[in-house]
Amino acid sequence: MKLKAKAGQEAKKAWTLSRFTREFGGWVFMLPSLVLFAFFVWEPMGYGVVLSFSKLRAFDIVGFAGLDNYKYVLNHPYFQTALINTVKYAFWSLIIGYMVPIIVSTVINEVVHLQRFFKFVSYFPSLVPGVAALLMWQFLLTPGDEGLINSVLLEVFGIEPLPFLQNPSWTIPILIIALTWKAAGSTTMVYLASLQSINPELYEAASLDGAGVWSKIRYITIPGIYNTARLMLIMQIISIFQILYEPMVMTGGGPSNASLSLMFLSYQFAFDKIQFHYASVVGIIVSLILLVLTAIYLKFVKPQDS
Amino acid sequence: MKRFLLILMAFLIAAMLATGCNKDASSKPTEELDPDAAVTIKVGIWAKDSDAAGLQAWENYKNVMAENYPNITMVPEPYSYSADTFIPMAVSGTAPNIFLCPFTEPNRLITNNFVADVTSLAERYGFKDGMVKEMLEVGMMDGKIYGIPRGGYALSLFINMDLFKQAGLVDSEGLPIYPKTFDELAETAKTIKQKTGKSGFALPSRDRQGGWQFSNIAWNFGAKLQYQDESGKWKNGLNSDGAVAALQYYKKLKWEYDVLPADSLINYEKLYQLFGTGEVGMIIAGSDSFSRPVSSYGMNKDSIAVAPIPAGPGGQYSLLGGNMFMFSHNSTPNQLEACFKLLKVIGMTPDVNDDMLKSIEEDILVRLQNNIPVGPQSLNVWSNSERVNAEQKIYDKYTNVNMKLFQPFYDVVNKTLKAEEPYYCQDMYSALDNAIQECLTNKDADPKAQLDKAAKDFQQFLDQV
Repeated sequence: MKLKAKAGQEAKKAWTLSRFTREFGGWVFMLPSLVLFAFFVWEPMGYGVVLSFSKLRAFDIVGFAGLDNYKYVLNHPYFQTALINTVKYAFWSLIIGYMVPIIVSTVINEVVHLQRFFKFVSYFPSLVPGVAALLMWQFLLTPGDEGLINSVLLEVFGIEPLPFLQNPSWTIPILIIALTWKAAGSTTMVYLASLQSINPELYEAASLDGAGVWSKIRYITIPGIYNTARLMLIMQIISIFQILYEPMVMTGGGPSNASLSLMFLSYQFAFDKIQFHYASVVGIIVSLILLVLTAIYLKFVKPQDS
Repeated sequence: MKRFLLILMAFLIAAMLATGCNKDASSKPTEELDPDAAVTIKVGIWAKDSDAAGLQAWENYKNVMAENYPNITMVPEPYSYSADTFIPMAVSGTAPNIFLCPFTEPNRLITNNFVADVTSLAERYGFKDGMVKEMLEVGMMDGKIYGIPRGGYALSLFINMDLFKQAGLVDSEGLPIYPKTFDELAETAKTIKQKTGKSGFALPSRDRQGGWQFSNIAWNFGAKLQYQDESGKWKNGLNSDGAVAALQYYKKLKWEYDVLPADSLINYEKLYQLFGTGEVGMIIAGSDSFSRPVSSYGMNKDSIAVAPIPAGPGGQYSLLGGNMFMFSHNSTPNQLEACFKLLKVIGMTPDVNDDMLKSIEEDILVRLQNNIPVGPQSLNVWSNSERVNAEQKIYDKYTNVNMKLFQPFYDVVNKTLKAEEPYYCQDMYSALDNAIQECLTNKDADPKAQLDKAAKDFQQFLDQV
């Protein structure tokens, strides 16, 4: 305890003018990005908080609303649906999407020939513009016998046309598949980097000791990527909580609000109804949920020492 | 250092909050009116690049403007209104000086201060006295005029004559045997499906357009969607018998008659596409868009016929809509004046004069060249009968479609017009969208239960009136 306090004091001492002048150059280098951050990230964040407590006329603040905006949003008929849906999105994205990049990167890492080609192929969907990719999925998934997947199913397997996105209980998993197809590539690259940083000597040593493929994965690969996977899990939850384009483009939130997400609700407040204060409230609620989730997660799932 | 950084950040944030992103939201133009001063306007009503006929017409307008008003520079900024793109532009002060928007919009644009008050110009240019009062009032608030109606429309039943002919649904004169009741509509649709394999009918169900069209059909089934009770409070009738019967009818079309497209999550634009490409026999659409399936989806101009929406047990109604010119709030008096001069040049003027007649005629000639229907007009916005007749005369001269195909609609439309419900329409439509989607995607959905839920959800909005 004492030791810690002492260290703290020393650290404080270290923040002196001489150190500032020594690091001045560094700060100058950081200044542009700090300014950009302040302008594009912190300012809007701060302004969002202000808006959420304000009475608005379009973007003009005309008074202080106290907690009225929060009450309104929490009692809004679609808020609860959107919240539950968003949790469903997160659940399905973990079920469907979490393992995909891990498996793909492990396989690519093991491939000897054409590794670059496979890296490119797995990253390629990330290069396709978002809306174009979603329209492609929509085209593939058209219900009825005119849909591409449906006509293949019918012609080849004799399966009756499937409703796909029109079935409320399939909508979210299907949107997650479309999202995973597009986003898994970049996560795969992160895992690959982490896999390639594992010391190959470990595998050699394991082979000498007679370990098989599964033991190598179990005792070398998984511990090697554990910290990355730990971070990626919470990052994935954070990004899924902000899902917007997929339901907006493919289903408009339907059928019957079955795919309405919190961010889509926020979008509707802001741009369909010109109620930026309510939109900000939804945004703030989402960030509070994520803050709490992340804090709990980081507390209970600790990083492993390498 | 940390403190220094904190102070720096706090300062930056404070500075940005103070200067903010909403630069122009409340600034009022202070410039004096000077009709000859050089002025530049951003024209949002310019034709889009994809619209060859429109571009040609605008080339003409541009020449006339340059000739008559050399001080006015026009910057083409073709813009089709949607709330989600307009608001950011209005907030940042980059909206076009003149643009078109649907009748559903003026209310919120005016209350949010996004559009300019043009009362004095509207008076001076004769719009105030020369237009149909009900139409002009859509763009007014507290006695001030903010918008100039361009045209009104009534929802109507578009008929694809190619499919009707294939299905044998034409009389000896070659005119469509169109449905006059909802039962007939279902039967007609069924015949089309059986004889041609195409969907007989299609309905929108998303982006609040499902609820929009549903409200019209519900009226015809006898629903009162919004009303005041004895105490004067506003109540909704989304789950009233008429509305439930209407939704029951939707459900039957989908699951019993099986005449709707397989895709049940479609919007209004998709309707035009399905109709224009011959995938659907009948749709409900606005009477200002007879040319849309032709210009956007390559339909033959002679293949369109139009009838009124069938009568139901509650009567026969046609939802009244339209679009109007509005002007961005940060336009200077000179810019507004220039916009009104432009209106005159494109033929939007209440009095009869040669320029205006010439401009209408030129516009028609361009449409003729491009094989777009000329003849059937939307609802009239002018109260001056001299003007109405003068314009009609030009149309009569150049009509290129068989007007008998449109006659059933014109015969009844004026008796059936009904304006949208008064309050929170977008929220009402979105609640209805949900009920419709449920009934079109789930065979076992209960329309009454769905509408009970919609009514409960929507009442929260009506309670705020």
